[in-house]
Amino acid sequence: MLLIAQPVGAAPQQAGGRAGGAALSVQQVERMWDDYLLTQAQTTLNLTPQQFPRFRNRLLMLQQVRRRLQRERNVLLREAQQLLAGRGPVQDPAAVAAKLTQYDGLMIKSAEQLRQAYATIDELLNVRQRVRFRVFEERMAQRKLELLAQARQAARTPDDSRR
Amino acid sequence: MTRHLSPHEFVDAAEGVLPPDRLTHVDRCGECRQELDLLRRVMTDLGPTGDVPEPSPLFWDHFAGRVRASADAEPASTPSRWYLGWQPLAALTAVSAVAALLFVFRPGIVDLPRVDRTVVDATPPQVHPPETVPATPVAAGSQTGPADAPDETSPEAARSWERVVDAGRGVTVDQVHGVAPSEPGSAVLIEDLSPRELQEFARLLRAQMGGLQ
Repeated sequence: MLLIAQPVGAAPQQAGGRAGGAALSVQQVERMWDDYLLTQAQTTLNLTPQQFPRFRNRLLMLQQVRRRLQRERNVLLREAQQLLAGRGPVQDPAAVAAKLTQYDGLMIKSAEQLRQAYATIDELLNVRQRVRFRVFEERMAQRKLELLAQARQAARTPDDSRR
Repeated sequence: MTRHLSPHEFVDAAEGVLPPDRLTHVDRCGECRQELDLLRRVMTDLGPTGDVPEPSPLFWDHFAGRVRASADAEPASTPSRWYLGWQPLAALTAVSAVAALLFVFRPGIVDLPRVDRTVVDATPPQVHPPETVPATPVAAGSQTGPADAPDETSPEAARSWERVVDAGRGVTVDQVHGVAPSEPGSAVLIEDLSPRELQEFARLLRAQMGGLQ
């Protein structure tokens, strides 16, 4: 039986970009990715109808935590890079050190929050599903990289040459 | 009673941005409240000065654990005491047989059929898809033997390496961001894509999802 992961984001008719419809927002595309993850997870993990609703909530939460932490890390890195702008000596070594400490703290916090998010998912799954979930995560990470690379490649290709 | 929170409403609630009218449902619904409490615990910040346990980057821990488990599951290869069994006799027999064959077929005794090198060399190389590559070893004298392997110390190899190094010189961290993730790949942010890349990503994703239905 296939439980359909309800599309919570963009409606299918909202074709984006070159497809001719309105351009999708970042949030809409993120939700599309989440829907894709859920659909794939449902098949890969053989989730029961009882498991699926809670799994969906928790997987979305994991995604949310992940994005938020990644954003925070990016901001800190950008700020640290700005402190090093220019070729001369570092203007404010103390500020750089503080930024690094902040970044390291965030890395620790990230690991712990992700661990908690995984734990909430694990408690829904049996042992076999937990193992599959790890494999699934790595496979989907790879898939995402492939799609990102394809998207970047396609974006560089002129419209005419793709027809 | 109003409907239960949707998955995204749970996320919004955990982040404190759920509209008040939906929050009233949470107050009344034990099931939603329980789920939200759990999700909130995940979202709780530990604070920079909190008692933080040692970092445990989840993927690498799990990955390393799996590798270790697989390695442990492999039977240890203890040196076998073959010399105590019947194997020495079999080994000696095999060696004797090979020696006898080498003697009989040594050059000048038996004229083995010769391979016509000109024909072999003129044969165009066959390209097999990965799944159809023949399992048999490549015949002696083929063009892929070690003697024909590229010489890594040759000037051409050195020039190739220099070209690779030159190509990488102008690449900044920002340019490779999103291709080489600092975390598991799913942590790569979609918002880092340019508007055009974003639409392409959506198009590819839609095609993927269309293939599922």
